[in-house]
Amino acid sequence: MEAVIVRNLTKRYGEVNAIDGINFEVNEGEIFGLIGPNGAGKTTTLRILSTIIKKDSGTVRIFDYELGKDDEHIRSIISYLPEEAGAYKSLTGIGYLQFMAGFYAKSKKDFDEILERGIEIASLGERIKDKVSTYSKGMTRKLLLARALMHLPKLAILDEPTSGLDVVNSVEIRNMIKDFVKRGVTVLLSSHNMLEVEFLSDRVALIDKGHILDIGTPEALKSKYNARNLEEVFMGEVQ
Amino acid sequence: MKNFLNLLKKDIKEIITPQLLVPLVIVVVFYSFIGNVMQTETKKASSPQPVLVVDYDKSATSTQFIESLKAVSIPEVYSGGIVDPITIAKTKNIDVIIEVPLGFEASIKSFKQPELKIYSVINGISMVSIAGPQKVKSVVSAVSETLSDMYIKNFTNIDPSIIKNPIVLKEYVVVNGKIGEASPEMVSNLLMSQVIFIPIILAFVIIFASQMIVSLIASEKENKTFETLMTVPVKRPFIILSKMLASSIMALIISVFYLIGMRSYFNGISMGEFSSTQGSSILKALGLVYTPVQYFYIGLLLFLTIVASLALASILAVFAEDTKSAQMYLTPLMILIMIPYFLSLFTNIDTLSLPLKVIVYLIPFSYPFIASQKVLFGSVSIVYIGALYLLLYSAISIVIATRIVSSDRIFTTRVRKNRIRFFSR
Repeated sequence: MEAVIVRNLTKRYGEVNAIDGINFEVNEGEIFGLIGPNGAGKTTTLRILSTIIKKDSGTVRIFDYELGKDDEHIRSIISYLPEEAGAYKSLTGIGYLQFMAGFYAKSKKDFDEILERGIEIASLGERIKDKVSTYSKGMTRKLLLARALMHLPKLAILDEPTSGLDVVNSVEIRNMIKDFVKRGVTVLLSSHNMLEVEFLSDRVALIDKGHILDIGTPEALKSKYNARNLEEVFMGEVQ
Repeated sequence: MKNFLNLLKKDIKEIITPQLLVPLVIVVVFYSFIGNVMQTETKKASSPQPVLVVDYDKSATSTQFIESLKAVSIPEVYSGGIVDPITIAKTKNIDVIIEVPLGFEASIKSFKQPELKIYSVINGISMVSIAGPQKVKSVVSAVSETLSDMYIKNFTNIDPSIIKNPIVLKEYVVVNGKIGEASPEMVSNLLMSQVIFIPIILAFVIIFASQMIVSLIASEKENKTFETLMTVPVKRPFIILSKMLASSIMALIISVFYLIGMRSYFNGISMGEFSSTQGSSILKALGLVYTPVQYFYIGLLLFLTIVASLALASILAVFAEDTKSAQMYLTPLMILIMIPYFLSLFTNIDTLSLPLKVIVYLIPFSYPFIASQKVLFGSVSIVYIGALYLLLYSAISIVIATRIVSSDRIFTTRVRKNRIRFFSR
């Protein structure tokens, strides 16, 4: 079953066509990667699917909910991790997770389970009780990823999940994402780090200047373009 | 509702920071302290002070004069022969010296003007340093008055008070048909001391509430938390409404603190007039003391004004990139609050020119300022008009604010080089 169906999606900012009639599907339980350079339209696509910004035209269905009509329902089954996200500096790590868990929990038991999962994903030890303002970039990113995954959303939309992180933190986060897919979470992520997407994704879409250039599994794309990795695939397609 | 309360709790937590609480406590303590100091100083000034009297005359008249001084001071009498009374006064910590000259009684009896000297030692600027000599002078005037009455009686059979005041002036003040015997200056001063802190509190609460909501919205943008908040399953208008409610709750709590501090301060400085039984009974007789209903009217308008200012501040905050620039975007709102604030402090809005009056009445924030004065004089219509206007204005502004937040403009609108642009990556 398709978790996401995108048809002829467009978005303009003044004279600029940020997205120009893109089409793709994300299957339930897979990790789908959008790869492309800066300004390709990745973030705009993810923001539209997360109900943050409005599309100009086209249709988007997320688990049978139609974007633009069922936005509140969509928000209850997705989670979005923006590239440059932050957490409330006046709150502690656990306070932040409690605040966010409050939106998804249906009962006290549910709340405790979500929070416990969040603390486990964040893996910040005793530092979870400290103010967010004292966290390093890596710690904040792990807290935000915990926030995005702790309620086991049906669809997790992750924009550059390892952006600005060192190798150790990046590997930890990639493993976490892979682990959560096993728990039934479908992941749509974007990155300009094509090697990362190749490692994580079941299927990828190459996007540039608002257009989808190609879609397929990393293996199929590498074979099609006779390339060693997705970077070479992308360069082959652009040239 | 659960989600709204979750947001509200978080927004209140965001507002209550040491940066907010510490100045708040300092302000309350400061005003209470100043108020207490002023109260003590006023009490000190009104209590009898020691005076040094050097009596060179030692006559029955000079003794009688010294006796009458006891009503307002504690005289320490030296019967002449002092070389340096100023040094003595200094060692005894006395600030007023009176010198009764030799021949004081004889001069009076022969209808000559004896010269009474008063030396005031001023060590600084305080109420006490002026009050002492003033009280002594009032005794001298009273003695002069008695003597002058005596002279008039000796030469005529007419009542001395008639000669001195051929016309008797009786002043009455009329307010809404109620008549009280007092001068308009006195009533005006009493009234000012009673209501002066109200516009200050009003302006403060409105500005404070606006600053809080602008900071809340701007810090969400600055800390990059707004984007995440927009994807949680909560009705979009709740996001802005919870911020409005959190800001107004905090503004009202803070205004109570300020009210206590300011009240204590003004009580301290206006002890002589406002706290006097005579003063308050005149105001009560004229119906110029706020009743609980009138306080409710001002409270209602204040609440609606806070809502209106919060709605406008939310719209302005959309353009702010961070908390620093957020304060700049509040400038138009500040101006709209400052206009009625200053006008209500220094002028009667009804006496302004028509165009100015129209401008003032068009500003929604004017109504609590105007009403705080008008309700005292029995005009309630301003409350109804103001409430209706503010309700309408607030409703429109809230709809605009929630629409902006619900739309993607909050992420795509930036002000650059005096222009509004829409952009994205």
